[in-house]
Amino acid sequence: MVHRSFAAMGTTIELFVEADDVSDEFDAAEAEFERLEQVMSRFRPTSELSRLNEAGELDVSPELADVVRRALEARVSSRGRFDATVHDALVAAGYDRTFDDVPTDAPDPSPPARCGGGVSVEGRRVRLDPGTRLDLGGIGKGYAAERAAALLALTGPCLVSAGGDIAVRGVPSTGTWPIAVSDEMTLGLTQGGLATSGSERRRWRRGGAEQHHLIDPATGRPAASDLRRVTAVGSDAVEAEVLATSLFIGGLDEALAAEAAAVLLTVDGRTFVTGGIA
Amino acid sequence: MTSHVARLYALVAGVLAFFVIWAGVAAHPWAAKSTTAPDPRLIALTARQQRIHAESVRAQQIVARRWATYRSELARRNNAAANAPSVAVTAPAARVVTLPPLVVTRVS
Repeated sequence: MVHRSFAAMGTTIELFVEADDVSDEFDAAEAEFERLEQVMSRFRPTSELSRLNEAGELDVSPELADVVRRALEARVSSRGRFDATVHDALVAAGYDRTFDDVPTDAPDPSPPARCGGGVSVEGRRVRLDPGTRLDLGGIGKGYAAERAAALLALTGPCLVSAGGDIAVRGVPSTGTWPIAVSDEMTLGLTQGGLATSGSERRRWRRGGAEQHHLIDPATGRPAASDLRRVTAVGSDAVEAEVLATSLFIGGLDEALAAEAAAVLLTVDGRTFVTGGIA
Repeated sequence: MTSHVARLYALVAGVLAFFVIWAGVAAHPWAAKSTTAPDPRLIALTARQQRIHAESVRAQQIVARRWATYRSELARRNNAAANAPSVAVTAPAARVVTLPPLVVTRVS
């Protein structure tokens, strides 16, 4: 098993491949992360996403069109729990720059911004309703992890972890990819993707009130969930990320009713394993 | 009558003689045959042309060989990609295991 880690998309990326020497493929995967960050980062003024958010309408790359399309599908499938139009709400809450530069405390946040604005994709043409801006931080890492995994898969079984978003291809000689979801629990993943969403990290304060990065599109404010963390399994890392975020925002009861493949950790410390994970 | 025929013969003979002389002059019989050695620049140019031609043939052979290798490798990779596990799996496969974790998932 060979391994490489590097920083990208505001997190640590880890690549694992069961092969002897894949340095060229590692380089290609690392370059792919950099390329996709330049496409999807809302913190880079010259990124394609920033230009789209500024112009409101743009002919974009196939990758950005693809991610926006998947975000729109996720908005429908999650019944609005997952919504990429939370950009202004995140900014209003104080997450207006790369997280390392966000002040840990500051005066009251701005009033919550409206979410749920119209977005359309026709071919490579993306149009945003006036005042609508996108944040693809939620699924961008999952999408990049899938792209990198597709590159590495040609050399052997592989796992790509982009922070909490994990994509796997193939099965290693151990029979499964062991992934720690907590100090007490390790999940073995053989295909698809896995992602974790929660309010434990990327937290800050505004006016003395705790803020975090998971915005409830219904309120435009950080979600007041009775869950602390959700790890979800999906057909790929993007689907897992959408599932984890929407389950977190929906709360425990909704997550239990969904019967999705997930591990739920509540704010009072209870753990639930759902969706046939045994 | 005889005089008329003689003049006709004389005219034909004159025309023939004219063309014979013309042909003789056009052949430049006075021009000296070149007895010197061929121009060395011409020889060098010819040799260079032959060398370039040979190199061109070799280059074409190399390109053809590499193109064949590339196509073969492309077919192999396409085949591998087609046989790689699809992302569109219907049933995510995850279970609790006791193996030491390879990686930790955390809030991204």
